[in-house]
Amino acid sequence: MKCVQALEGISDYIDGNLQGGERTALESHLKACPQCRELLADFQKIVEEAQDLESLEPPDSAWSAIRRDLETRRHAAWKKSLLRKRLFGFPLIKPVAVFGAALLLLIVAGSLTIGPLFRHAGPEELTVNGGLALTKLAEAETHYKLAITALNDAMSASEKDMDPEILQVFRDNLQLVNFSLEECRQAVSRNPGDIETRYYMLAVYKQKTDLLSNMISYGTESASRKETETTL
Amino acid sequence: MTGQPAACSSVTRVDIYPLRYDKIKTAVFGPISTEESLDVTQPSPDDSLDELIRLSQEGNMRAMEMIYERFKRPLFNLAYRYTYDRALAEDLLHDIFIKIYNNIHSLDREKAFVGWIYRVAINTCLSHLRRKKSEVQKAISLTDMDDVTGDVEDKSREKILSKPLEEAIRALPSKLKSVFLLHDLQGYKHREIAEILGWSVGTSKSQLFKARMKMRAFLKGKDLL
Repeated sequence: MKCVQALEGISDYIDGNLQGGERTALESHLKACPQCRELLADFQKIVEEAQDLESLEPPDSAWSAIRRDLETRRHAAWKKSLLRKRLFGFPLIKPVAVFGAALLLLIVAGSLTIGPLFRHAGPEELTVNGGLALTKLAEAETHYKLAITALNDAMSASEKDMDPEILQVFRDNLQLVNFSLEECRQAVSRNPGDIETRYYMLAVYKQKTDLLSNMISYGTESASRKETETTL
Repeated sequence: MTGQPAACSSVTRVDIYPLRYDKIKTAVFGPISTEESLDVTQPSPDDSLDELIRLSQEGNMRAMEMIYERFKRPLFNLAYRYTYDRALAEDLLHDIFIKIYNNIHSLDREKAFVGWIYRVAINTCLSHLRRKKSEVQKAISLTDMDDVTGDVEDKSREKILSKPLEEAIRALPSKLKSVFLLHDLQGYKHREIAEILGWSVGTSKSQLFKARMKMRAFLKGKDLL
């Protein structure tokens, strides 16, 4: 083996990647060649010292800063996406248009489903900042409240057929939704003229009606299953 | 038979409504932090990296923190030895993890993840050095610039690591530094380094040899070998 070939193998030899005949040939060459032996010794020293270099620890505050940054970015992205929300797959020209369309849909749906309970907004609601959008939001809230009252009644009737453990989970979640709702109400009372805040509140109302609807469906299924088992 | 559904005994909040609640809360308050989150899927330090990646992709901040805990030290050391400036290395570590979490959704394998985060880390460090080089170029003559990045580190950097080997590492050109740091300091194999740096295994080996030769020459020049 010549020095040129030995040089190619020395790194592999140090790293334990040289096996068999290549390893034997290199070792024979090293015995005979002081220059290559010196190179090997230098490389070994460098590698050993590299492994002993101090390992530094980032400061404890580093993660807090990363996390704050991530949360800020996520929040900004969420706000941006909210403004770009699409309705039925169609891009909306302006957030106001999204809001208007959603509101219209809500009012129509509300009128159809809880028509007899429909209540017009009172004069005090009409004067909230004088805005039509705010008035309509207040109307939508009224519809949701009435729907939730009706759903609560239906829920009370279904509870007896539900598994107690699932019922407890439902109650826990309902409590959380109610907590969110309360926070929204407080936010609205602090800033009654803010359409966005009211829009968030309606989103929670919608989630509450969904939660109640799902649990009523579950109660109905449970009742049906019980009935079937009794029959069998 | 009591008539209870079979799944009832094992039902938990996770099974039914937590996602719904998170949706509500996100809709109302925007993305939520770990303390606020009622996510009951809390990762543990013993979770596999795959599981932590999956949870991070869902936005679980605790899982992100655990990934950070696993990689903070090697990545911080990597960033430090590109800059030899603790404060700068901390800034780079920050940028590296922001990039990782902003793009983690595009990953699906633990194996790919490790190579990927190192790629992100090295690219972030090299980008910083290139920017710095650009700033330096505005101030001094081009003829004074030889190495790509070797001379652009902050000359006023702290002298906390004064071993001759640190000086030798600092003097390495960026490519050689990358392979030396990954192989001899962090213990990665040539196959892994090839994946991280987008090289062949042969290139990784030859670059490591060159790096060691340069360091040897540097240390010999100072009568330290």
